[in-house]
Amino acid sequence: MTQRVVTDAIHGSIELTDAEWKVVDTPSFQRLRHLKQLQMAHLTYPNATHTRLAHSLGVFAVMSRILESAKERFKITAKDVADLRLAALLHDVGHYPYSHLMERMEKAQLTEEIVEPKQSSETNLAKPAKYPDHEEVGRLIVTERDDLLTAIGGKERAERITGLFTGRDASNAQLSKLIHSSLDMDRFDFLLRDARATGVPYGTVDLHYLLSNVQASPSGAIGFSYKAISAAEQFLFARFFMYKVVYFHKTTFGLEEACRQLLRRSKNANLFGVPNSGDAVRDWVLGDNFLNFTDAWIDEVVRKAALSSDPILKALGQCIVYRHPPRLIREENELVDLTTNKVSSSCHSFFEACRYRIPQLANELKIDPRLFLIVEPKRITLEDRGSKFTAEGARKLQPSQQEEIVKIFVRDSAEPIPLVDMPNSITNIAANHAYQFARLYLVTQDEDIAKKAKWLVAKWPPAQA
Amino acid sequence: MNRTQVGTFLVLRELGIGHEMESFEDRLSVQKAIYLAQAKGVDLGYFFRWYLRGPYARTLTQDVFEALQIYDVDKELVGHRLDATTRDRLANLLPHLEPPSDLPRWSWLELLASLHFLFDTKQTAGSDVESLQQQLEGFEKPYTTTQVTRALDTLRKSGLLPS
Repeated sequence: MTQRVVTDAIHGSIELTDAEWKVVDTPSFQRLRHLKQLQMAHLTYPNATHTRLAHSLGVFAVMSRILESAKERFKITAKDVADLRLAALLHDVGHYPYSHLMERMEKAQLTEEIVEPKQSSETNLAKPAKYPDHEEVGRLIVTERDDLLTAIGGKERAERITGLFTGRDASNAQLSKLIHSSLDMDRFDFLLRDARATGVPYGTVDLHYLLSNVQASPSGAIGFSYKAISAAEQFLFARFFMYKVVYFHKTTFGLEEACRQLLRRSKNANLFGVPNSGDAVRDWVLGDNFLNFTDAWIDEVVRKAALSSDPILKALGQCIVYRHPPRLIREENELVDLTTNKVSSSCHSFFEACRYRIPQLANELKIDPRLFLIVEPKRITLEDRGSKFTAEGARKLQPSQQEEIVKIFVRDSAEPIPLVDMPNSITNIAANHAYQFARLYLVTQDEDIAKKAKWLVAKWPPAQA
Repeated sequence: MNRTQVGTFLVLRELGIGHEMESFEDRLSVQKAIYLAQAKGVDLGYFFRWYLRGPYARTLTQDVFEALQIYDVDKELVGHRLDATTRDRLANLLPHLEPPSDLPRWSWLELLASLHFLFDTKQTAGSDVESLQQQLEGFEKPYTTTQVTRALDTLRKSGLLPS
């Protein structure tokens, strides 16, 4: 079987078969070349322009390495190996323009939704308005678009492959675990790739050592051998710091929040061709215009908004087009102990203060309150849960949660245990806390207004837990 | 809380599902109730995949846990209500979520949701009850043929499966 070789900055030479190359060469896959992996991070880190295509090849490379060393241990057939490789390659084929920014637009809260006095509000859940998850979009693309169907070899195989990367194939749950388990090839690649592209050192992972120490238990649970415990701990901390420093960077996040609100407002007003329902997204993805479902489409929407007669859309658009990021007026941050059930926190208090004080603040500054962007408390944790659950509680976790937690094989046990439950691991303590922050931004290019806003907000009573 | 979280908690409340998420059974009930509500046409936008305990949406657990940890949920829901069509759909679904006497509610929800998922994704072993019961056993779901029959009837009566 002839091999094609791609040279990758992270993994070196990546070898693909001719059949896999046919998949890479399809227009549907090449669309990923026009989606940035890190959304708007390039506006903060100029080299963060790497693409979903590069990341997809990277995940493919990681999967290939694991399969090469572990296929006998996991009792995987040659057919399964071929399917898993393609599942890794195609796992992100359904990503939206600017990735999660557009996909999760509905979760963005418009300023007026937060600050208006509580009125009676009614949901609208009866119509399928929500945009489909990118994995569902990926399933549609792989099983319905002719170029991929032909390259993959037909509908039956396409369904099998999407079943693996979406995890919807019940019969292949064991194989799906390789993609969705704590091994998380996605994270292995994106941490390394994103760290290299941004130039920050926090995403360094000892990938080779971790992959050399992958084991499977009799029940099929996947974990690392004990000697890799330090590398596994460092992996969790790498992820934590990449989130804190890069993914939630104050400038990048402000610009992305401006974009989210711009898209939601445009959608609500039926402007600029922003799809107004999940069905509209599905039609686009399956239609002739699919190859325009790229970052460039959003760039165009933003440019149009920057010229809009609507002053809020114009302000949001211009702050992105001209790279005048929303000004961070204040950030409240803290460490939260996850073992208590305490709801109140200084971040929560600050968010509440914004809710009730923004109208007056806007009045004092003589600006539209919708120029404030209020970011509700966000959390960054080391793992999906802390370690202070009892052993009984840990055993009662849903298997899906257990599968996705990093696990270690210890001497006396055939089954691996969660790393964060090991008493001699630093993660045992760190995982019980979350770094939490809440922010208030102002979309303005007026330095005086920004300064005055900061001064006025600084005079608010201190946020208390 | 964002609109999705508000919608999720309102739906759970309408279906009489507690949102405590303390025990495994609580979390399982939340997952399966939301899955069935979506199957009934309530658009919350969660994408479900198959795990050992049936259909599961990771972002649903994240949304609920996050809201519980950051907000006083009951206080946040004040002033919000479900639209009439959604309330009707959930009212139509609710009686069918009542478990038979031989199963706890969380297990009944798991059975209903798992069967529906397998049919919806065309992964059923067959339409005869014994094949389905064996297929479920393969997923470590030891339901009897009587329970599977009852669940299929319920899914048909509720309109979640064709009659």
